Amino acid sequence: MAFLELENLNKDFGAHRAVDGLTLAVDKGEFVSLLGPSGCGKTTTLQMIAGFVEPTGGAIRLDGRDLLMVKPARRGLGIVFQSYALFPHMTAETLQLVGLGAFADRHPRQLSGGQQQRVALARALVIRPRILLLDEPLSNLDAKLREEMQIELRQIQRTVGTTTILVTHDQAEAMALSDRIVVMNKGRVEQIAAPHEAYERPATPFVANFLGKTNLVNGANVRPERITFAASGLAGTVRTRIFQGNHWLYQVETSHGLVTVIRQNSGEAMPAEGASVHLAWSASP
Amino acid sequence: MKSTPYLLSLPALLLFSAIVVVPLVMTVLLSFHDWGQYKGIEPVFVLKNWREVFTDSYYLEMFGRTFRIAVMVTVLAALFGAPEAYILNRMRSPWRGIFLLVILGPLLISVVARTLGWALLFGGNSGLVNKALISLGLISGPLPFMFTETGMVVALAHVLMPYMVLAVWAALQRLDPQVENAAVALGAGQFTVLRRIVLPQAMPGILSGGVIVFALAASAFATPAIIGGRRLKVASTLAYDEFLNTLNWPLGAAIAVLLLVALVLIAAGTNRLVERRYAQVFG
Repeated sequence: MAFLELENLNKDFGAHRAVDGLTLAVDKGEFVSLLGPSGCGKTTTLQMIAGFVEPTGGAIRLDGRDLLMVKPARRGLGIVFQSYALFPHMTAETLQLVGLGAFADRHPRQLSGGQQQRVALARALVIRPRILLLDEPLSNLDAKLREEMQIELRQIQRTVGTTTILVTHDQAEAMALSDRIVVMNKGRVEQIAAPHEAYERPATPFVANFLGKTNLVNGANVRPERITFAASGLAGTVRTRIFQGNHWLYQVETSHGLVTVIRQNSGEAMPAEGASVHLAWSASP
Repeated sequence: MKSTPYLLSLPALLLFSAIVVVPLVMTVLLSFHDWGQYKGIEPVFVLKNWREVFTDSYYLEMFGRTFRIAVMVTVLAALFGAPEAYILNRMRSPWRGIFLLVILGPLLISVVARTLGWALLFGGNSGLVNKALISLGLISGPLPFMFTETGMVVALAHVLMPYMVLAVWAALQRLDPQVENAAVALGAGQFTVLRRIVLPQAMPGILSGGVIVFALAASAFATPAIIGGRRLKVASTLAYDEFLNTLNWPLGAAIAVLLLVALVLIAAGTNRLVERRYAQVFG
């Protein structure tokens, strides 16, 4: 039996159904991300697990026990909020784990964004939660810091071994951190799978689009980085070519419409704009 | 030109000094003049009025009463106003707008009408509150309201409550709505959340609202004049009496200046305390 079970969970706000029949089983120690655009119901789902929002229907079980009968204060869950929600009148304690031991007597306003983020994480972990809930925890950090924190977050989660549920709209973040991702759209689950699985074999066009750039050729999804320039294949003309450091981004005009191609920058000469090319790819495994 | 900003603000500065600084300085000077029943005001420099104000126990009693009433009004306003602001902050529209109007209501009604309303509620044996309490058997005789400090405190707390509510509400609006959820998730009960999370963050609002309410209560005139009349005087009605009944303007000026200085000191002191205590936390 799974550690955390969500069974046919529903939430209505008036006539609007925010979460529609969500079923999910999370194993102990697993890192699962709820991924989707804003308004897809991912935050509502997290709030229902936390107990701040009451489900309209369905069940939540933790370790076989009905969690809906337990008050939010007694659920023993650690939560990191998007705004961090630190207590501005208190100082930071219990920070060795996140590498902030020297800052224990500071108020939140005296800490940088990244430090506040770590304090929020320490506060969530200090009660030794049965589940760690992360609500867009990295979205207020700049790109470089976010990448660092992703790695750190993953390491801390591995060290502590806490079952973790992350809510995010950033597909790169979800894929980088999670054992499995739950792609949601308009309150419904589109796919539950390991990151590479969902990326390679998206269950729906929505998943394919949301997880990265994709081309729809003859009804099949082809990732841009899977397409190569070859001697024969789908004929086309290079419309635009954009250099992005470690790779080239191409838009190629073909009989199937515009096809996006991404080629690794290996230092070799690449087709210029206006050049006639042939595109080849192998079908997804 | 460095003098341009000063030249531009000169008209405003002139107006300010003409309507505030000059009368104030004249009042201070007046408090050092001599006065006699038959000779009237004599523009000489004497400390007579100040000596009288500081040594006569009659004046000490008046100022003591003023201070006591202002403190009780402030405490009452905080006890009722802070929870009111918290509840208001959690309301949704349209209720929030409706109740904001209800709370601001007292400010829109003439102080005379409002105070007489309170007097009718309590007044003698026929007052509604007294009638109800007597028929419930809670009290044997009517609670006195007119000419009592209780009456002044109740009426003043009622009218000054909005200032406290607005100050606390402003502080609560800066509160991160997730902060209470964060505390609940860590295992805090509803009471702990209020006491350890919400109250400390509302404290700057309660203190600044307290300064406003205290200053307005200590310098209030109309309400104490109607309820206390000339029997139960406070500093402001005392100064009024010296000016218009005894016609001892210099003594009235000394009382008025003392009240002003005391209020400025208390307000500035509290403000410094708030700033030093909370600047680094809330900024």
